[in-house]
Amino acid sequence: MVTLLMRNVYCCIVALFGVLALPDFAILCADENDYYRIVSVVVAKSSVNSRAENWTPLPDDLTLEVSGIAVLDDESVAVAIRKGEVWILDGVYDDPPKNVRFHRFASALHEPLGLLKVGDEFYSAQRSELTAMRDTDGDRIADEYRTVAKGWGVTGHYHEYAYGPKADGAGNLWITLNIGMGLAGTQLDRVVPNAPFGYKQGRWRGWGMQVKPDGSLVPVAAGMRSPSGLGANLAGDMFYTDQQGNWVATNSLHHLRPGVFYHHAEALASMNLPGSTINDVKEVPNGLPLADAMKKFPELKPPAVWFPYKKMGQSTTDIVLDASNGKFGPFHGQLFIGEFTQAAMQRVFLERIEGEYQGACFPFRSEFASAVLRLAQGTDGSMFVGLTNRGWSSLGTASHGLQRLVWTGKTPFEIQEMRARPSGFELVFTKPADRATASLPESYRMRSYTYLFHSTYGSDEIQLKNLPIKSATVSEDGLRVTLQVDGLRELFVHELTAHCVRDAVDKQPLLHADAYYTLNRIPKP
Amino acid sequence: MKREVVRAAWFLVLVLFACAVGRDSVAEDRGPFVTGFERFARYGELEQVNAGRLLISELSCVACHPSEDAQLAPKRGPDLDGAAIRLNQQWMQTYIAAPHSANPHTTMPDVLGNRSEVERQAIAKSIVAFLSTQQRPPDEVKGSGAVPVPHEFWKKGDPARGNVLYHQVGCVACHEADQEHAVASKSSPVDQLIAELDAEELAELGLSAAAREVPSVPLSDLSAKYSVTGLTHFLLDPHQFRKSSRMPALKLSPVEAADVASYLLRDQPIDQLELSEELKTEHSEEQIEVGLDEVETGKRWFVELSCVQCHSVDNLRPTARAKPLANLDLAARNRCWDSDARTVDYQLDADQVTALTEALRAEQTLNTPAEQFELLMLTFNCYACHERDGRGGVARFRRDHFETVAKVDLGDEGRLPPPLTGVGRKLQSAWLKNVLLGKKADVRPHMHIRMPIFHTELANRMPELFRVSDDERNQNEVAVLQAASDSVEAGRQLMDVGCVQCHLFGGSALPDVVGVDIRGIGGRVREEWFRDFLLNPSALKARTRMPSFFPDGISQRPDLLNGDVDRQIAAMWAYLNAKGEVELPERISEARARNFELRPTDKPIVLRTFMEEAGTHAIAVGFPQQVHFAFDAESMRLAVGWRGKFLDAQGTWFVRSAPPAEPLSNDVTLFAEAVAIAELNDMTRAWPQQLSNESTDNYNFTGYRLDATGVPTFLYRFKDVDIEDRIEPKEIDGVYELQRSLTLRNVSKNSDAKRMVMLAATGKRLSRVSDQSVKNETGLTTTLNDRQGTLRSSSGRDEWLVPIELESALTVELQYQW
Repeated sequence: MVTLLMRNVYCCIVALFGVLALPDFAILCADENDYYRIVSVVVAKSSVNSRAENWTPLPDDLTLEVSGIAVLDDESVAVAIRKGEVWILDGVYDDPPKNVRFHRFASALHEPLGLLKVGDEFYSAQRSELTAMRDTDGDRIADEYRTVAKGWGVTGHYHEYAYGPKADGAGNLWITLNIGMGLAGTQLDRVVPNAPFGYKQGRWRGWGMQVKPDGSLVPVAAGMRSPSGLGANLAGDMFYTDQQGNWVATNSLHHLRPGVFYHHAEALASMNLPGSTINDVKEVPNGLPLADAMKKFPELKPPAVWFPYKKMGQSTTDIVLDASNGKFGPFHGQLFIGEFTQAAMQRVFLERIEGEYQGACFPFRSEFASAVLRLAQGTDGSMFVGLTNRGWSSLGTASHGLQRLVWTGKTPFEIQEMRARPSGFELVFTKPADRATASLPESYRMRSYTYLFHSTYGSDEIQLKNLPIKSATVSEDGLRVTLQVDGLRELFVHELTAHCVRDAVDKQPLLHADAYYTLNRIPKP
Repeated sequence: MKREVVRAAWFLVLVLFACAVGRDSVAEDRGPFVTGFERFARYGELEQVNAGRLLISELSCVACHPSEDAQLAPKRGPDLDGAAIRLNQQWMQTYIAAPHSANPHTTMPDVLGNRSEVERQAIAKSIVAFLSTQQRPPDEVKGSGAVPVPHEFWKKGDPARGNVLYHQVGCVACHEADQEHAVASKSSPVDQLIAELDAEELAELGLSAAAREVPSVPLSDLSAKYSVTGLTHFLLDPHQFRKSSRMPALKLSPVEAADVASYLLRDQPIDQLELSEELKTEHSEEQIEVGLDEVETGKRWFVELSCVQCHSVDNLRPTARAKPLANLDLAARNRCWDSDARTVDYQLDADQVTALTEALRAEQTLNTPAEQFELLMLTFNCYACHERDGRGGVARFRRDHFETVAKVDLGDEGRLPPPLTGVGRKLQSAWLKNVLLGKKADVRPHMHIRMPIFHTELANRMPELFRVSDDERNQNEVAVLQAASDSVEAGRQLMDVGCVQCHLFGGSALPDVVGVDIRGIGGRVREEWFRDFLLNPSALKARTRMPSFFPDGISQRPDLLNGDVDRQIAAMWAYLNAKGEVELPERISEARARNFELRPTDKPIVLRTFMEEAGTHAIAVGFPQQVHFAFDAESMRLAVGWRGKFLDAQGTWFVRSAPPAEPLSNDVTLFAEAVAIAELNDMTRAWPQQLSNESTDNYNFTGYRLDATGVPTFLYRFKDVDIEDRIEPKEIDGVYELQRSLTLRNVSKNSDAKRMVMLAATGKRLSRVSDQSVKNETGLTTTLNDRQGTLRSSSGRDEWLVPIELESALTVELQYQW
């Protein structure tokens, strides 16, 4: 043990001297901003603390609390805002955006939390229905508010948000429905009658729903707590994010598929309704490690990716696919996830093992002006970032706004992919790694842990174990390294730190040296 | 080698910096820095005995020399269980070997006596080896939806933000300010006056103390001393590492603590900053293995040299006690303050020795509360921020760093911490305790400077001392205001006389008003003080901007409560402390309405919301004609109509808890709790129950369209009949009533006529007004155009039904009057 530690120190010192030998310490000042630049399109003048009960916007402030973004063309985007309006913003790609024009397209929506352009209509899920808005007389103001789908429970509890829609690869629309929390008074008049386990929830609360072209709602999967993010990957499969809380150990990303249960037991209130894809759950385990809970509750499936609390944010939100073929940097095909509390954005790599998605998450970009709720990729590959922190808290300097994240053209040194292997992991870097540091097992540290499935708020990391790295083998081109790791455990998060790896040319460390792989399945050799 | 160079250069910078800002540095020949002593005792403003007693506690004399006197409780030093993680080893070595060279103003004595330099270094080395095994990590900082805690937040501090915070939140009330830092405020009038006077004039006016520069509490060599994790966690919660820390917690968020730490450590060599924890952990593991003997030796020295008397570490217990304080022989040789002391050397200066000797010579006397109180105020340096009875307050030059948040001019009162003169008369003890503990007791959010959090022991003692010192009548919590229960409304009206100009009410205020929120003021302020303050504010608070609204004891509102001042004050008290929701003062209410009240002027306004009368799918429509309605899109019915003001949208737009919207009127009428169109196989069948998500009975709501005038037409479908439901104002006999048009369209493939029925009106009791008109018991009259209805009683209510023969399309019109 002592020897190992000594070598570890040595490794870092070697790396350090490399660093100190550089003339101007430039590398130590390298930060996310060198690679991805934040451009503020509109940022609130009001201060950051909008958790207060009586929060009000400044009188002259357009309260652009962005809750949905639809990219329209090379000039403009449409955004839904939480007070219930849809605005069309022109000139949003200007850099700096000195001449943004605002035009209100629609109003009188009840806390809409998504925006999607379908043909000549804008779709948005508001609290009580999925609505399509259209301008029929050519004045650029919606005059038709068509109810596309409704029928989910709306008891009047504030936490019953409805998110979406987003379209999957097949063109199906998806929405997700927050669970209610501690319903009381007249809210209880609207719960599912005689619900299993005595749960008090409105219809389909905590479910992910598909909307068919005829407006019918098709329940698909259940157990959601606060599914504020929806998004499809390159293959067209649909995913959602959930947020830490009761029954949810930490933030998570899930593949939406029929009959699957994710976290929040009270979603089972709708189990016996016609159309439910989950039936006959006899018992809900409470207080077991995830793997044990899954044995007692077969519909319970692990997320494709866990986001360990604090390390990978505190409240995951939107999901957006980089489909820009390189215009957003070296991450084409990967998913980017919004982060509310820390005003940030994370990155996700997914792979399929035995048909099921799993993968890794990486820190990507912090320092947005407020909580990140919505993301959308612009026509130039840049990402629009919709901000609002009202009701909770976040880092940042503003209570709401719209920013844009632009790739500077410089490639950061990052772990581009982290793939599971039968006896370890393979890392793919965005540019060649320095062989000396990358081939030292001591350049890496790994530990693994899992979570409790329980009704209390969040879970600690449990059954924590440090895993020795047996070897690190670098590919000829320096782009890949294969780590042999002892003691892999299925259904555990495998946390990797690679602080001592340097790139081949500039000897810079990784921009983000941490990665978290959710190893639901170990690939067979 | 490179590292050494970097560090040397940085030391040079520090030295230059220290020279440059020498203005209020402490003179070199002065002894340990004790802030109350430096500010007041040096100038003869404290009794020698009290000054000496302050030194006894701050120099921790009683840690070794026992005393029964609780007021002399020693300050002691930091706990060292996490020394290896928090402190730099090189610094520990230097500091332990020669404390006064490393930090001339330290209150830690040199305990190495007249040992040789070689011996000193060797002992220090072993103690550092021992302390390097002390690796208890700081308590984990919990994150939540309200508390962002980025991963390894202590590494992510921003020195620029830290600079701003350091000069804003209160650090510079005690510590050195960067004179380069922009000074935001205009000087206060007092400061302007002081600047113009000479020493003699100042003395005449009693402003000598106010004109004095107050020396800064030295920060020692933080960059050499602390790891970034150590300093960040210390700033976040000083009491975790120093149980009786004189430094309070400044209510920094984790991110802010990291920012301030990175500012204070801005000159730290980058390698130390980046990798300090990792390297330290590894190094010390190494030392455990290679230097066990050394560790044991260090541990022995730690106890033997009495370090353990003040520092808690590794569960070590003090083994020896020195002579009790009361029995000290002041004439003996080798006293702690003698320069050739063999045991402990504090390097006291002459003033300090004099004060200390006086205190030790003095008879043990039972302190008065006022004396105890003074000692506590000095010990915890309350005077750094607060003035009390003419002593202390934020010192000259430091004052210039404090501003209101939005730079609103509220005078010194709005930017500097409040004076504490008479505060025991003013505040409830329980509230004061919450203030000291930082428990939801911030009433001045308009100030940048923060009231910090002190430790529990102080919070337990202080409020009672305040009370007994200030309230000679000793009447805690006595009700002096006799308000009649119906006076709340009068109290509300009295707010408009002036209170609303400067105060908030449960978070609501006039535009641009920042100030203290006075809703629920009885939770913190005592009634008697409230009354006296209202009658004559400046008698209780010098230079306050609060004017008297009862000049010469006369009310400005003789029309209310007969102009009786006592009753009016009681009414204000009753209003401010009324339980539950109360109406806002009228002027605030009006201002708020301007922001959030929806006032249709040229076109209708639509708002989807929750409404008690129209459910969770309510669509409210307001008209310029001042008659409005809400449609319930869940049960597809006109739910409620009202005249007058429309709605306030704040709850719907901006309140997290999504409260229901309410008609801003009492002129409200409720309509049938049922859909208007149905199929009844025969006229004896019951009308369909109110529709819901769970039972839509072949009804589907499909949205609404707005016409060119902005009037919505609601669209729903029953089987293969499309229904368009349009409701809008119509003038009837000079009054705007609601007119409703229901258009039915048969969209079925076959062209058979459909037999439909319309439910035109319901009520407990319906009476005919005319052939085409009925009225219910609430006064709602429904009138049909061109059609006949039949009255029936069904399911316990009266119904007015209209049979409809639908071929392709038709429109039915009715009017509602109330």
